[in-house]
Order: sequence, then C-alpha cells, then structure tokens
Amino acid sequence: MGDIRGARVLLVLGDSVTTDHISPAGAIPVKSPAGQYLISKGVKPEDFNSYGSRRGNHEVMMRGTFANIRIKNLMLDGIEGGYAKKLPEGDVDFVYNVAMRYKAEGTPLLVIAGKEYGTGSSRDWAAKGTYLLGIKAVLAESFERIHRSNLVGMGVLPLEFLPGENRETLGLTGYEVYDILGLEDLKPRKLVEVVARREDGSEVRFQALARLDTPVEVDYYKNGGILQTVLLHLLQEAKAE
Amino acid sequence: MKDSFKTLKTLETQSGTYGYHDLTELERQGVAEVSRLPFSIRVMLESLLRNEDGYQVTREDIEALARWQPEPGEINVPLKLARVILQDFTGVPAVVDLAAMRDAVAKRGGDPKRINPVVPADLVIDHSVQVDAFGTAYAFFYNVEKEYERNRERYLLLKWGQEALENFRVVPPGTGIVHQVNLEYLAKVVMTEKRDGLTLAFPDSLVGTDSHTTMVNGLGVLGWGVGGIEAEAVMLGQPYYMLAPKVVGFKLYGELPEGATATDLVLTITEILRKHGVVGKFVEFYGPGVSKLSLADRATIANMAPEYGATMGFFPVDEETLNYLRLTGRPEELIDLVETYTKAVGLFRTPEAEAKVRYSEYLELDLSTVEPSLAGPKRPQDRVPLKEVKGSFLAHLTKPVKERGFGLSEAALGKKVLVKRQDEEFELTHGSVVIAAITSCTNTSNPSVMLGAGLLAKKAVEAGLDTKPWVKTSLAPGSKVVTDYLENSGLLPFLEALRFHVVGYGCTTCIGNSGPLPEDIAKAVEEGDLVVAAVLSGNRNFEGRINPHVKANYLASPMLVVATLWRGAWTLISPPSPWALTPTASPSTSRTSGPPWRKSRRPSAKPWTPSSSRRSTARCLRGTSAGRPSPPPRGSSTAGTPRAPTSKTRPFLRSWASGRWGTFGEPGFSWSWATP
Repeated sequence: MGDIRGARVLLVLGDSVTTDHISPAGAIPVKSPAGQYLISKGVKPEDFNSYGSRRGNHEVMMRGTFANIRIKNLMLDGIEGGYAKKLPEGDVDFVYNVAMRYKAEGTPLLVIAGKEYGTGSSRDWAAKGTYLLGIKAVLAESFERIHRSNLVGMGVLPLEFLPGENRETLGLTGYEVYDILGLEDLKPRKLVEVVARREDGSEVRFQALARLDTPVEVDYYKNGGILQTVLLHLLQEAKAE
Repeated sequence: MKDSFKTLKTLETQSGTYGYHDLTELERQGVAEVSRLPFSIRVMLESLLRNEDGYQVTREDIEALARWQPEPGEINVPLKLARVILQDFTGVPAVVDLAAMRDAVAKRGGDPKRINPVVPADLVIDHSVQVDAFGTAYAFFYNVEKEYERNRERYLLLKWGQEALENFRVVPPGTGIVHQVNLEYLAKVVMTEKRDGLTLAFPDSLVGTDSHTTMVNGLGVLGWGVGGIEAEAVMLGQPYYMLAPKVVGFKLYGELPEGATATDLVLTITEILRKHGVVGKFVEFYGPGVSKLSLADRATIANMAPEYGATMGFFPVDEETLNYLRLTGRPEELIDLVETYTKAVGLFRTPEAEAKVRYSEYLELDLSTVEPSLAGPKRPQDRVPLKEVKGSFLAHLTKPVKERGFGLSEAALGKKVLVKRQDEEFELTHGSVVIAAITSCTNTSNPSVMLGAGLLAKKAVEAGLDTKPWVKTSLAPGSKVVTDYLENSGLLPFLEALRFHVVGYGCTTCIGNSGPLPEDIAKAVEEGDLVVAAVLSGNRNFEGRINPHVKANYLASPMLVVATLWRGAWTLISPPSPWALTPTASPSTSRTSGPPWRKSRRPSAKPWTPSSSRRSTARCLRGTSAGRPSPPPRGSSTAGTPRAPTSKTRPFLRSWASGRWGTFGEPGFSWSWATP
C-alpha cells in the first residue's frame, strides 16, 4: 500500500453527514444515474423499487452513492443534491458521472468532511459505494464508530484532522490537489503527512491521524479490505499445505 | 490458541467430558472480580479467554475487559461470535459477496470451495412475503406462490448458496420469522466445538443482519443486529470490534396484573428506557419479577431493544430458560449441558449471584403497575393507556403535524365517505380500522397473547359478532409452532371465523408488506383524505411504514387487535370495558366482566408440547412446497443462476481482478471486478 498522490476532492461536506446522505435507501429518481442505468437495462420506472431492494446490484448502488437529494457539496455554492465538480475543468455533474471521469484519467479521490461523519444506521453500502467511486480516503474532524470501521473494512483510509484543526482553519476549499504521505510503513493511529497544492501553486502542509486503530485494521487496509484479507490468508494457507 | 490465565478446565456432564474456560478462575487468581460483572459482560469475557491468540485477541484485551467498571471508559473488545443469522433482504448481498470471493479465488488458481463462512450462518427467508390474499383459507398458499413469483431470481441465488457453501443453511420461505426460528430452533444457548482433540463448551452468541436479533437475548444468548459488512466479517472469522458498553440494571419486581400482557409490559419498558436514554448501552434485567416472566414474555421484551435504543435487552440463563429448552423439544443432553456449564462458569442467574453485580445505572419497575396499553399513532415509544386511547386519537387528529398529530381542521373532522359494494354499503370515517394484523416477531412467538387472542375470538364468535367489512385482517405467526398450538387448542377456527386466516409466516404488515388495501377502501380514503388506522401486534409504526394509505398506526397486543374487529373504528375502543363483546362497547350491554384469556398467561403443556415443537421444527429446514422453484444446477461456481439487474456481484476485489471495469462475460450474476 503506497502513498496517495495527486488526489482530487470529490465532495466537501459539513458536520453530521449521515449514512443515509452517503447511501440513500429510498426511491430511485428516474433522472438519476441509477434510474438511467435501470432504464438502459429495460426496467420500467414503476418497477424501480428502492435503493434498499437493489443492494444485490453494485451498478445501481454505486450510482446511488452520495445521491441523496438533501446532501450539500460545499464546493458548489449552495446547490443541494448529489453533484460534484470535475476539476480542473470545472463542470458540475452527478457525483457518479464526475467520479467516473476521474477514474478514467486515473485520479484518486478524497472526501473532506466535518464532525461525526457517517452517523446513522450502520449501512454498509455507504462504505462499499465510497470505495467503488474511487475514493481512497475520507478526511474528517471525527467519525461515527461503525462507519469508520466499515470504511477500513472496504480499504478506504479514514483520516482525522488534528484537534483544533479543520478545513476552515487550514484554509482548504476542495480545489487543491492532495498528496497523502507516510502510508508505506503504517502502524495503528499513525500521524501521516498531507500536502495540499492550491491552484496558484502555493502549498498547505499538515498532519492528520490515520484512524486505523489496531494492528488488525492496519492489515485490513494494507490488503485492501476485509474480504481481501480473508482471501489472502486462505491462499497462503493453501500454499503452506 | 494461548491460555495466559490458565482458565481451560474440563467438565463432566451426562453426555461426556467437555473443555471450557472457567471465568471464576480469574477471580481466584486475583485478576478481576468476575462475580461483580454483569452477566452479559461475562459472556464477552469468556469469548476473549477462548480466542486469545496474541494477535486478534490479546492478553491485554482480556485484562481490560475483566476489569470492567460501571464507568467502563474506553475498552476495545475484539469479540469473536459463535454464529451469524441473516434474513433475505440483507442476506442476499452477503451471499453475492461470498460468491464474488469464490470467483476471485478461482481466478487466482485457488480452489473456490475454500471460501465458506468460517462461523456457521443461517439465513431465514421471512422479509419478502406480502399480504396479497387474506380472509380466506387459500391466503397462505396464494401469498407464498406470489412471493416465489416475485423473488424467483433472489431465491435461486440463495438456493445456490445453500447447495454450494458449507456452514451456510437457508430456512425457506413460509417457515417462520428469523428471530422466532432462532429462539425455537437455531439457538443452542451453549455451543460446542472440537479443538485440539477436546470438545469445548462455550456460550452461544451471534450477530444478525436484522435489528430485532436481540430477541434471542431473552434466552440468555448474546447478540444484536449489525450491518452487512460487519456480518460478513464475522462470518469470515474476523472479530467484531466494539467498545465495552455501560450496562443498565433494570430490576423487575411484583407480578403482572390480570388483563395486562407481555405487549403492555414491553410498551411500558420502551417508554421508560427511551426517557432514560440507553443508546449504545446493554440493558440487563434482574430481580424477583424476572422469575415471574415466561421465556416468551422475556423474548418479547428483548425483541424491542432497538425501539428502546439499547444494544441488548439481556436476560441471563436461569430455571425458566431450561424449562423453555425442554418445551421446545431440545435434546435432554443439551439441556443438561446448559445447566451444568452455566452453573460452573457463573453464568446462571440466581438471587445470590445477581445481588453481587454492579451495574452502570439502575432502573426498576413494579410489574403490578403495568396496564393495558397501545403505542402510537406514529412512534413505538408513545404509549397510550387503553383507557385513554379514544381521547388521545381524537386529540391527535387536530394536533399540528410537528407535535406528531395529523393537523386536521375542525371542519374536516366529521368527514365520511360512503363505500358501496354489491351486497352491502358502509361509511368510512377518521379512525376507521382498515388493517388489523396479528403479526411480527415481537408478539406472535408468545403463547400467552396468541392463545389470549384466540380465546377472545371464540367469545366474540359465540356472541354472534363479526368482523366489519372494511378491515383487512391477517394472521402471520412467527412459526408453525404457533399454528400448531392454536389448532391443538381448538382456537384457530374462531380466529378464522373472524377472517384471521394464516396469510404467511414472515414479517408481513410489520415491515410494510401489508399488501394493497381493497380498491374501494383505498379510493374512499383518498377521496375523504381520511386518517384511517391500522392496529398491529408489531414493533414499529413510523408513519408510512405500514401502508401508504394508513396514517395512524397503533401497536397493541394480539388480543387488542382482535378487539377492534367488530367495532371497526378506533374511536369505538372505549372505557371502561374494552373487552366488551358488543359492537359499541357500551358498559350496560357488556357481556363479559373481564378479559377472557385470564387462564392463558401460563399455557399448560397441553397446546404446546415438546413433541409438537419437534414436529414443527423438523419442518423448519423443509419449508412449504408451494410454488418452490426447481433446484438450480449444483456446483461451486455460480454459472447457471439467472441474470438480471437486481443482483450483481462486486468489483471490490481489485487486486484479484483483471484490472478493468466491466463484466467478465461469465453467465450467471455477471461477476465483475474493477480497479477504481
């Protein structure tokens, strides 16, 4: 597991973002990426059912990630709903569409958030969808317990601002390009180095706490998640036999 | 495995010698005062002792938890659980992930058959059945058939899982509700496992992908609901990480008065605990009142832990637990093991043992103060004493929506809509009961309230009463054991006479699968914008959950559900005699003086016997044959399972994949892998 370099910010979010903001459970709007996907597969809108009933299908669920109509991406001056901005071009589109454009060019992604990130029910698709959009790390002031552990389980790095610091005190807008350094020799609760390069070429450097709380969690992260860790162990056992 | 504290010992029982980790040894060694720990914390501590490996579970983890204090501070617990339960809504994604892992292993040249749940997992299909047909003898078969029709693709996937995966069992649709199946059949209370040539005995424990998993806490089994990733991790042998919680000691004393039921008790407890605040805490019940509660009553209380907000509502193993194991036909050797083991390790509740325990917070309730109650119209914690329900409902009609009212104007209150049918016509008003459902894991597992409902139905039929034509009735027992004892006691025909035919074995109305209202009723509700009501013996009633046409939803005991039938309106349930067998319940014409189920609180062994339990549970893994799809092809790969957009597998395993988006072109669920 190497450093994260050249990352872009997909969303900047405020305090108390819930798992329902991240992965809504309710109706699938026709015009949303998930709705359009279902239509392309010949599903009629009256048969859309809900996000909740489509948890067996990652294609629907990843298109529904950060698609809550009440989520506010603070990079977008007051626009409500699941939108993001593709940088450096500056086009605004659905979160899914923007994430796929970044993916196509190989750009890793970050989310920046406030306090109590991921509160609410322990919805695992909030972490699965985050991973599938190509988000490598979430940098927040604090995390809700279960969602943090789910992020680690999916191989997404939870990073915490140091006490007293946050997006505002550091002057971060989400328009910067980020490097996250020191991930090669991770250990529990390690301080890692974050470098944010502004559009004008200036740099903000700060430290953040990697919220991998135990050696086991460090292993999960290094292996890319829980499922991968279990697979790896199984294959190693098979070789040993 | 390590054994830093040398707690491994052996135990003699009727069925032979078992190894076990003796918690009391820690006290003898002066490590910690185990006898002062809440029972639920002791169960967690045993798991650490048994699973100490110096990596996932360390000596320090054991010491930290053994020294749990009423103000626990930050103690991280890597808890290894004995098993996992799943229901079909949440279980499908888990099976899809396991299938994805198999494919990943196969692509790396490994043997896909090595991917299996490490910890045994049972999936009970109970969430999909809807009440399409009701009030007729063929309702059950019709609804099961519709269920298979709608869910064919998902069920074929589960069937594949059942055939291909080891350590994974599927209980088919039409069998029962997962939590009751767990209580009656799956839960062992004390489990055994072969390790290094020794058979170890240890406490049963689990996580489930459903919030009401806590029901099994009534049987002294540790467990609660978790999200899918966590359940998958546990299934794959990973620990469940949690902070050691505060434990609230809830003392029960006295005895329930005549006429009050387990449902009334749990609604009262929910109200008390919501006010106190128990989110993130365990609640453990103790005191002389606990011994007066049947196991079914305890299970009802444990079931609603998510409604009162606690992680668990725990009843330690005691004499009543052993009685229940006997009643449900568990083998005598198991019952002996449960008794011998729990007594040896200090997990058996006695007055002396519970007196030593220190809790974080204390609450108490005199059971004799519990009165017949309902909860509603919008939240489970809003208990209304039965005698106030009419006034409360009327007040809610005009209360602003912000105060959980319906915000009607005075002018709208008198609204009536005439419904004309071929052979009858009737008026619907605000408060008309359009759904009466005996349903849910919370109550339908409890013989006292189910037989009570049957007795009330018998009296009503004998008094010549009938169900109003606008009420959609349904009976969805938690398991076939219930139907058996209603049949054996001769009460089922009376419930059916009031159109309470069995519609299915599943969650049904309680999770919103109430099915549509009859067209003319739905039209009338829309036309008059009527606040019509549902009354159900369920656990949740948030607005819009039960049925889109029904705004007021009341949780009540099965008896109270029956009592609404011949009145047909909420406003007619009135004091002083809610059980009166007359259409208007006016006291002067009341034909009974008290609740007719008086004698059913403690059902004799007659209607429900160990042998009838064994017959029903034997059917558990067979289910109903109605509409069952033909078995899918056998084999360890997923080829041959159908392809449709409701289930696809995961591109999570990027480093195992070909490094591109898209599907691998395999038939089946088009497993795809990606490198985001």
